Order: sequence, then structure tokens, then C-alpha cells
Amino acid sequence: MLAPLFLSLAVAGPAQRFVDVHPASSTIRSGDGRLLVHASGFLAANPGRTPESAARNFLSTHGGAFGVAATQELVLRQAPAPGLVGAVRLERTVAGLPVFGGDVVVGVDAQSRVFLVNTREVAQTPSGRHALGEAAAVGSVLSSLPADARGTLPVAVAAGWRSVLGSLRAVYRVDLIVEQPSGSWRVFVDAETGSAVFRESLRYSLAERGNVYSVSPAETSDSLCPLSGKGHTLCASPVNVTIPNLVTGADLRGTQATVSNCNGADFPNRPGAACNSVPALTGNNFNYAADSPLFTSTTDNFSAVMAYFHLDKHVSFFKTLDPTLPGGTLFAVNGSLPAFVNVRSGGQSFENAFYDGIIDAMVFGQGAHADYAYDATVMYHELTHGVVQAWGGFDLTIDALGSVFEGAGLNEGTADSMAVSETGRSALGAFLGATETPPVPSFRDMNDPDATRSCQGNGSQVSQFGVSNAINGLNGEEHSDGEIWNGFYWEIFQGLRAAGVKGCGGSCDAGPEIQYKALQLAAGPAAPTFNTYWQTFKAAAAALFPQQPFVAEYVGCVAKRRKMDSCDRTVPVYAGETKLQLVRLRYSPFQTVIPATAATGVIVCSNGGAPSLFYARKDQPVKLGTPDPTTGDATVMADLGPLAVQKCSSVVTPFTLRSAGNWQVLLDLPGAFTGPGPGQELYLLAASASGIASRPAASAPSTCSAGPLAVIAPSTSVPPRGRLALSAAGGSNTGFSWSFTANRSGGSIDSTGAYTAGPTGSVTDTVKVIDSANGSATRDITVTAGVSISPASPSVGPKGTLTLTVSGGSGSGFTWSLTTNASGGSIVATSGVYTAGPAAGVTDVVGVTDSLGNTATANVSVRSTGGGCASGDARGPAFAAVLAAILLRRRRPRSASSGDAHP
Amino acid sequence: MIPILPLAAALIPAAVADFKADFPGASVAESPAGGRLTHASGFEARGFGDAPEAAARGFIARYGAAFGVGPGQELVVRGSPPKGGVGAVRFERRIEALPVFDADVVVGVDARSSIILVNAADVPLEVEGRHRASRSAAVRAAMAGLETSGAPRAQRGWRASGRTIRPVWRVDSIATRPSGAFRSYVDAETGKVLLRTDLRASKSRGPVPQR
Ligand SMILES: [Zn+2]
Repeated sequence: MLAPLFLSLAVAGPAQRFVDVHPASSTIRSGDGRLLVHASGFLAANPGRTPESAARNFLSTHGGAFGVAATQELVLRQAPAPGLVGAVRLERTVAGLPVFGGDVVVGVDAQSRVFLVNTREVAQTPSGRHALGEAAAVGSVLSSLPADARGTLPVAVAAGWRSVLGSLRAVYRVDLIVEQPSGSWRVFVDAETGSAVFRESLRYSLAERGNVYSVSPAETSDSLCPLSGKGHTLCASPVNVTIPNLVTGADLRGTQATVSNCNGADFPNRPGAACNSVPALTGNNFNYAADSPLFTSTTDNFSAVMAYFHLDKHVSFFKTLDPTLPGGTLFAVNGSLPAFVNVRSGGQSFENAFYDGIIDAMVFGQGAHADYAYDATVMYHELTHGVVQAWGGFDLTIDALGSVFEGAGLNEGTADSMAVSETGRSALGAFLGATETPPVPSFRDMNDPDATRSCQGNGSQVSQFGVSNAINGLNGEEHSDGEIWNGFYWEIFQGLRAAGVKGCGGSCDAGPEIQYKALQLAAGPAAPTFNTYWQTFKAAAAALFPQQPFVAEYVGCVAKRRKMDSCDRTVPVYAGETKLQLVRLRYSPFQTVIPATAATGVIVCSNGGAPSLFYARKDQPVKLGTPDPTTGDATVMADLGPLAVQKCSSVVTPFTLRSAGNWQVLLDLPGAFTGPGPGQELYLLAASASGIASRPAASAPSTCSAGPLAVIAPSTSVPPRGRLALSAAGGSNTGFSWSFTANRSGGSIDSTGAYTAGPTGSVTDTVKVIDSANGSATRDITVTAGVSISPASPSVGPKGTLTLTVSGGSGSGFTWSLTTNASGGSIVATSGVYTAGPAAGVTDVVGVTDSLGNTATANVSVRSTGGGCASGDARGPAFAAVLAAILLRRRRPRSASSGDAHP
Repeated sequence: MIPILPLAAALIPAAVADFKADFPGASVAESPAGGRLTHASGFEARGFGDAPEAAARGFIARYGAAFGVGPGQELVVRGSPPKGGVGAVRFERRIEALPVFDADVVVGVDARSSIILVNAADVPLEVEGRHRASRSAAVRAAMAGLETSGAPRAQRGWRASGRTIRPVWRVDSIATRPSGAFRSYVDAETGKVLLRTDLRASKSRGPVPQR
């Protein structure tokens, strides 16, 4: 009779007190009835000024009702801004470690009144110690996997607590990705005993199959297709993959991406709108056919599947880099970013793709010769813009030196950097480049000469905006300026990879982990500049690799060699040089500096003839004061100006700089914000050949190295005739040349490190790279076995059937044929099922070719006597071999598998 | 109009000198007007707290003036890494409960919750002007010359403009002609557009000729 009494006493505790105070509320109690796990339908006014303080005040009174105990500390994980309705998410910690699954979510309204609580029952008494250590916890998880699990990759381990049947056990939480059987798993391991207490799949969705290009029609996951002329060939075929993280599997709505098909219409202009949903085909798959080779369909659903797969993949990539996501407010890192495919504009083809920060969605155009969703690198790029925006954006502004526009270039550079980090190759948009007229190898390449320039430039003449002899450096066009960041990032990405520096506890490259952290640290405050961004990148490297200080030192060395530390929003222009500048935000994004040695002239003119003003100041920057709030015009401190800028023509009168000195020039486009659009104008500045200093000779660049010279290979084995894109890093980091020290396969390698194995299999090639300092490194590439047919010399009676099997080569795309058909027989091209003809005592020759063009033949003797029972002979040994292999694999000791996979 | 302490502006050079004296190895970037710091890294400030947010608040309480965090500005946390994580504690500045747009202060912390970095927008101390223009007047000014398809979003707040902080409306709208996602800041006293940018980031070079 005591039990009911205890129960009623318990119920009369804090939970009952909450219900007494808020009798109209809806509540849900924990399994044992003691606590509340949900309450809503009430409104608790609090003295808290911010949502967080309101939530804390509320819990200081009623926390007991929800099991918040004195032993638990509540750490803020998320809160809405004051005045907004939202969730204050508090993580419970005990002894400084998180209680997994024990978050308390408090809903607050615009007046910071609490209207909801959600939580989970958490046992109060901690038990157990964290005795095992993280490494042993991971080991015990790996050894608990099925013996035939392959490709296990632990991605995160964390110590904490978990409520297990009435006690709060010390546990480790281990997240891992398993290739086969495919899954993402979260396993909680008892921190004392190592036994798994709970396992859940993080892919809580249906996984259907679908057809996609692994990168694009011009690029496979292993390599770019070969160049033919200037563009890459379209050698890649679609592959059938798992389409993960779908919500229902009926359409392309997922937990990380949501794609709809605009079927040639304009994209929606309102947040939350969508085009047509893309249904699964009969049999619950998305095996749509590619619109190849034309790529012009405005309705193909393949485009949508391609977008879904690669956007989901890039979100997963970001989550690998920082498992503490979600963060920020927008979809890219906190939900499911919408994307629209097959978009046209006003009935015309749309030759672009973009991320829109207001509708918070991505748009992929259907162009005249290409579908922009057929190139994964474009999608990785656009999604990264969404991630930058979600973390606060790289805002632009105007300050005393002019417009601060470098953030736009850094946004592009960051988007390119995260895209190539996913593919591991420096080229972006090989497919789109191949469809241009004339074709080009890519739309940008992190490794090309344009990406070696500095903000101030070195006087090299390049072609910009159709002008062929402009000096390089910043020009105010964000994609172009972004290449300065691209070159810097790519060198670091490659250098750290070559030096074997890994991030994410061993599961990712160091480069993208640093880049993502730098993005988070730079977004939000208005207007990052090249100078603040590289230093932010270096600080992120130092914080992420505290035990390897050479990482941050290497970053700093590369930044200085690329003159990131002199990115001060000026670009010098010497005697006879021409500089272009695009103004997008009313004032110049950088001031040109003209070192006059005497009175001299400078031509400044505009491309479009928009009313514009010229200002110059000797030996110091032109400075803007406070804009007049009524006119928007700032006061300008200058020695010369305002002078009207003429439209470029053959009769432009130069401006006179009246004495020797370093003259700084600022341009003003006063109509920028009054006309339609943000306004823009392109300006040309040509310095006189006399009365201006000549460009000084460049000093020899220093070298930076994260380690010794090394060859980087995406894989160390390749089938005969297969391709690998090799690259090098370390050493002097420049001037690489490639050769073979052993070429047993009969392969080839070009000046970019693109290696193609020869036709001979089961051999090892050795490639060599030499850098500009004459350092060298080699790497062995295993060329796997060529194509072979089994059985090798079969025999069969007239009209008998046998099933031939093939192994080796690329392992895919096999086609069978009869190269000699003496018996009058036949063979099924796709399966290798051979049927002899009626003629006996002859020999047929069967051939097979793989997807790379490797071939093999086998002689089949058609016996003069005997029946058609040979098929059993042919199948028997092969089947027995497969069975033996399965049995052997199952008997493999479990410790061996954990030993293999342990980092 | 929020009066500021006459001494506050004079405090900035002293605060910058104070920060530099305490962290002589730090790399800093200074705003071209006013000498406020907009970036600092290459230093490690320990002992401000065990958790990222507490450490960041402690650091800002001590050195915020060097980064232009002035009286009258309230700092609201918008995001913070978990304890033990490397990351960004993000503060939004507010004045009279309204946000100061594009003016966040980001404090970088390492795994020990030491402060390793500050990125701060260049925000002057002085606030000038009052919210007079109506929402519809601000939207009209922002939309001039644009063909738009949907209803624009408008939010009241503040934004740095030259040597003062002005009351503004931030107006976001999708335009069909010229095509773009435009964010305009309209002076909330005079109705003048102070700044307009396109929030669309594309793959290619857009309207300018390709290289
Ligand atoms: Zn872009």
C-alpha cells in the first residue's frame, strides 16, 4: 500500500506545481509520470529582457517540472534575436560534459514570454566514469560492426552522458559512416564497459536509387575527361547511386536539399514558392534518363535528380567539416535549401546559375547548349554562397576610402574553394566549358596563371572586359577578383594534402576545414577584405591545429609570398600602363596610385558614359567624409576634383597631375543608387609614358613548404587504359614537370600530371615529378589486371550453351561478341551467354571489351560429339570460388577489421 | 538622437593603444576613418571564461572600445560554438532594441575558449537622426526604377554612414527588371537611398563582358 502513496507524493512535486500555476496548459508526462516532457498552451510572462534570460528565468522557477536538476548546468546553444518568436535551445551538461538527447527547448514569443517547453526525460543521478578514452570507444564500436561491413569511417567522437533506464550513464557518442552496408550511424558506448548502449541511424529517411553524373558529362569522380582541342570530351556516363535523405521518397524533398523542376518557366520570385515536384518512377526510384547528348531539354527530371544528389552531398560535406551544425538561420546550414532546375528567363534560355539571398534558394538555368544542373561543380559553388549567407554574409559597404567591395570577390573565391575541395581538382565547370563556342577547358581553374596574381598586380598584361593590354591585379569584378583567393587557397589545399595534414580528426582534408572555419569567423561583420580574410584564415589554422604550428606558419608564408599582406585597396599604375576598374557600389573599390616624377597626364574615361567624377590627392588617399543624409553625397577630401569623366573615345582629354608625387585616384558614380539596379560602370585609366615612374623590377618570390615535394594521386591503382589526375605539392611548390621512371603499362603522362595507363595490366608504373628547385618525388601506380575470360579454353557440344564470365579491366561496361563464328553460334552481348551453332569440330573465338576499350578473347572448341551439358561445368567452378570467398570473408576475425579501420 | 559621452570618442585611441600594449604580437586592421580596429588576430587572450560566450563577453567588456563597441550599443549573441569547439561567437549590435545592420562583432575562440580573433564592422560611435520616414515611403524610395514582382520586406534599424550611425529601413525585394535580389538601405529620416547591393551571387560574370 506504500507505492501509491509515494507516487502521489512524487506527482505533487514540481510537475504538479507547474500544472497548478498553468491549469490551461497541455502537458505530456514522462514514462514514470514524475516529470513533464512537453508543455504548451500557456503564456508565462518573465522579467527577462532577452529570449535567453526569459528562458532561464522561467526554468529557475519551473525547471524542476522538466527534470532540470541542480547537478545540471544549462548551456545556451541557440536563441532568437530579441523581439522574434523562436526557440531557446539549452544543452544540459553534467560536470562540464553534455547530456546527449537532453536539450531543453523553450519557446518564446515576441515579448519574450515563454509559451512552450520540449525536452526528454533525463535521469538525475550520474553513474560511471569516462574511463575508456575516446580511442578505445571508437575501437569497441568498430569491433561491434558486422564482419562484412566495409569502408567504415569514424567521423566524430564525444564524451558525455546519456539517460539509460533510470540512470545517467557516462558514455561516448561515436558517429561513423559505413560504405557497405551503406549508412550513417550514431552509436552510444558505455564509457566504462565499452558496450554499445544505443545505436541509431542518422539517415532517418528513405534511400532510393537514381541516375546522376558523378560530377558532370565531362568529369567522373576519378578524373576529368581527356581534352579534345580546347574543351574536355564528354566521356562520362550516368551512374546509378543511392539518393539519400529523402523525406518520403515520393519526390525530391529531402532533409538537406529540395529540388523542383520549372520545366522551362521563370524561377519563382517569392520565398517559399516552388516549381513542379519531381515524382519517383514506378518501382520507387529516380532512374530518369539523362538529356544527352543535346542537354537542351527544358523538362528533363534527370536535371532535378542531379541537383538533389549533389546539393545533398555538399551539405553533408559541410557537416563533415563542422559537426556542430546547424548554425545560422538560413536553409543552407539549417534545413533544406530549395533549388530550381530547368529555369529559363522570359521564354529565353538562361545561361547562368545563382544563389539568391532573399528567396534563399538556388536557380540553375537551362541554357541554349547546356543544362547548368548537369555540372556538380556549379552546384557546389552556388550552395557555398548559401552557406556564406547563412553565417551572416560577406556584406559590402562604403567607407572613407571608397567602396569596400572585396567581400564580393571573397564570396566567389570561397565558393570556388569549397567546390574544388569536394572534387579535389582545380578546374570548375569542365562540362559548361565544353559546351561553349569555342570550347574552353573550364570556366575557372584555381591553378591557372590568373590565379597567381596579387591584389596590387605585378604589371603583367592581361585581357579583361575585352581590353587586351590591361595590367593585372584587382579590377572590381567579383569572379575575377575571387581568383586571387583561389590561387592562395589551392596552393594551401595542395600543400597541406601533400604534407599529410588531415582535418576533422583524420576524416577530411585540412584545407576545407580551415576554409570553412574562416568563413564562419569572417561572415557577419560588414565587408571582409583580402587583408582581414587571410589573417582570419591563418587564425583559424592556428586554432584548429594547435599541435602543428607549422600549419599556420605555412598559411602565413603563402599569404605573404602572394602579397596578401599588401592588399590595402590600392593598385599602383606605372608609366605607360593601362588599368581597368569596375565600380559597382558608387565609389572606386580601390584607389589607383600614380607615381608622378613631374607634372604629367593621365587618361580616365568610362565605358558607358555614365555621369562620373574624378578625384585625386597627392601622397595620401582621397578620403570620403560623412554623406549628407538628404543628398547621399559624401564630402570628399582631395587636391584635384571633382572633374567630369568623359566617355572613352579617341578624343578624351587627359587630367593633369600638376607636380611630382604619388597621386591617388578615386572615382564617383553619383547616380549609382538612384537609377535602376545597383548601378555600375567600367573605367579605364591610362598613365602617360612620361613623367611617371617605371615599374620596378620584381624581386624573386620566396618559397613556402608544408613539407617535402610529393605526388598526390586520387587513387594508387588504376585499370589498364584508366586515367588518373596526378598533382604535386610541397618542395618549391612551382614549376612541376612530369615523367616516368618506369612505364611498364605503356602509359602516358602530360605536362599537367594527367596520367593514362597503357594497355598492359598487372604491372606497376612509377611516375616522377620535378619542381623548380630540381627536387623530385616519385609515386608507384599499380595497373590492375587486364580483362580475362573464364573459363579460358572451354569446350561445348554443337548447340550447347555456356556462360562465360569476365574479370579485370575497368570492371564495367563489358560487351561480348563473336570474333570468329565457325559453328554458326551466337552470344548475348550483355551477359556472355554463348550458344554454339550446329557445326561440330570447329573453334569459335569469343571476345569481350570493357568500358575503357580493354579486350580479351577465348577459343571455344565445339566438340564433334557430346551434349549440351557444358554450361554446368562452366558455372560450377566459378560458383564454388565465389562461395569459398564468402566463407573466408565471414571467418575473418573481427579484430582485424577494427584494426584496419582505426585511424 | 542618443547623446554620447563627450569622452567616448576620445577613448578609442586609448583603447586601441591598450589592446596593442597587452597583445603586442597581434595583427590588426584599422578603419580608415576613426582608427577603430576592424580585425585582430595572431594573439591569444586567456582567462575570460570557460565557455565561449562568457569568454567573448568578458573580452569585449575589457577591449570592446578598441573595436568601436560604444555606450548605447547592446550586444546580442546570435551564435556560439559549443564548449571546447573552435569557432565564432557572433554578436549583433543593437541600439534602442533595433539592430545595427551589417555591424556584427565576431569573436573567435579556440578549443580552450581563449580569444584568438576579432572581426568587427567599422561602426562609428555617434548616432544621428530619428526614424521619421514611414515604411511605405522607404519602400517607395527603394523601389524607384525597379520592376518588382512580390511584396518587399522592410525592417527598421540603424546603419553606419560616414562618421555617424543613421536610422534606416532595410528593404529587400526581388526585381524582374533589372533582374536581381536587391537590398537597399534607406535613410529613415530623409528617405534617401544610402546603399543598394544585389544579394544574388552567380556562377559567372553577369552583365559585364567575359574575359
Ligand atoms: Zn558565385
